[in-house]
Amino acid sequence: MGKTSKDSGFKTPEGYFDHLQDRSLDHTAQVRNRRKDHRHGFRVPEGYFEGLADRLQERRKNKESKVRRLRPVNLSWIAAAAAAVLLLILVPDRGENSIEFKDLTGESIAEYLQTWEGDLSSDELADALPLNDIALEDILDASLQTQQIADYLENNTEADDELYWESDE
Amino acid sequence: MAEESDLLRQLRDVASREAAFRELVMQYQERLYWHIRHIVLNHEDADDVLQETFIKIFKNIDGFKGESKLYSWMYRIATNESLSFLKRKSRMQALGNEQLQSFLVDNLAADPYFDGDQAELELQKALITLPEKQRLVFNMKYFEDLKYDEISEILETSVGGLKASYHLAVKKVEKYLKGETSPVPDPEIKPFK
Repeated sequence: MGKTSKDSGFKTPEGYFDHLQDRSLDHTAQVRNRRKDHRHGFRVPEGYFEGLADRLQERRKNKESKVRRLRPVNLSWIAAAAAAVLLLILVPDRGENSIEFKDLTGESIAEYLQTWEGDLSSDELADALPLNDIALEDILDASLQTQQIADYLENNTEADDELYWESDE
Repeated sequence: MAEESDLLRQLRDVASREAAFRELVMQYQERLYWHIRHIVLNHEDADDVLQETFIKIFKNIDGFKGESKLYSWMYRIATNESLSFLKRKSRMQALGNEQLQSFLVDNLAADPYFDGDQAELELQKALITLPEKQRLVFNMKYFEDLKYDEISEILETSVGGLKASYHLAVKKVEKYLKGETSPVPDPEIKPFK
C-alpha cells in the first residue's frame, strides 16, 4: 500500500505517482485513437483507402477515353445551329404559325433522340431537365394506346422468351 | 507530407501533375471520404461521390485562385458533389424530400458497412430530417471535429451563423431523440455556391 496523506487519510496505490505521466500520455493516445476509429457505426471495406488512388486513376483514364470524339467537330453545323437560334430570336413571333413542343409528334422526338449524337450521360440529361415543370403525375397519368405498346414490344424485344426470363429462373 | 503551396505548384506543372495528384489523394482521401459519407450515408455512394470529387478537383485545379485554403476548396467541391448526388437520386427515383429521407435511412440500415447500434441509427434518422445547412454544420462539428473557422471558410458562412446553426441542430436532435417532436424537413436540396 502507498503513503497516507498527512491529514486527510486518503491513500494511493504503491508506485502510483512514479509512472503517472507515462500513463496519462498512454490514456490520451488511447482516447484519441478510439475517437479516430469509432466512426459512429460507419466503416469501410478492408484496404479501401490503400487502393483508392489506383482506382481513381483508372476511372479518370476511362472518363478521358470516353469523352474523346471519334470524329472531328463539324464547325459548319455549329455555325448553322447558332444562326438558327439567332433567327428564332430575331424573327418576330407569328402567333398561330409558331411551333410548340406539344405540336411535335412522338415519332419525330424519338427519331431525333435516336439520331442525336450528344455526349451527355443520362445523369447530365436528368440535371438539365427543369424539375419544377415535371410532376410525377405527368408520368403516371400518361396513357398509352394498346397499339403503341404492341409496337414497342414488337420493336424492342428480340425474343418472346425475354418477357418470361425472370419467372423461368 | 508536402506543404499545400508546394503541392499546388506541382499540380499546376504538367510534368509533376500526376505524382502530385496521387499525393493529394493520399493526403485528403480519408477526410473527404468521411465528410461525404456523413452526407450520403451509404458506402458505395460515398465511394462514387469521392471519386467524382477528386476528378473534379483534378480537372479544375488550374481554376483554383488560392482565395481560400486548398482543403477548404476541396471540401466545398465534396459538399456540392454530395448534395448534387442526393438531388439527382431523388429526381431519378421520383422521391419527395420525406421519401428521400426514408430511402436514405433504409439504405443505411441495409449497408453492410454500417454496423452502428440502434442509438447510432436513431441519431442518423434525426440528422437526416434536419435542414440541410444545420445537418452539414452538425456533421462537420460533431463527427469531423472541424473548427468553426474552418467550417466558415468551407461553407462561406459567418462563424456566428454557424454557431447558431449548430445550436439549433443540437436542440432539434435532442428533441427528436426524446421523441418530443419530429424536425421540420428541409424544403429543398441546394448546392453551396
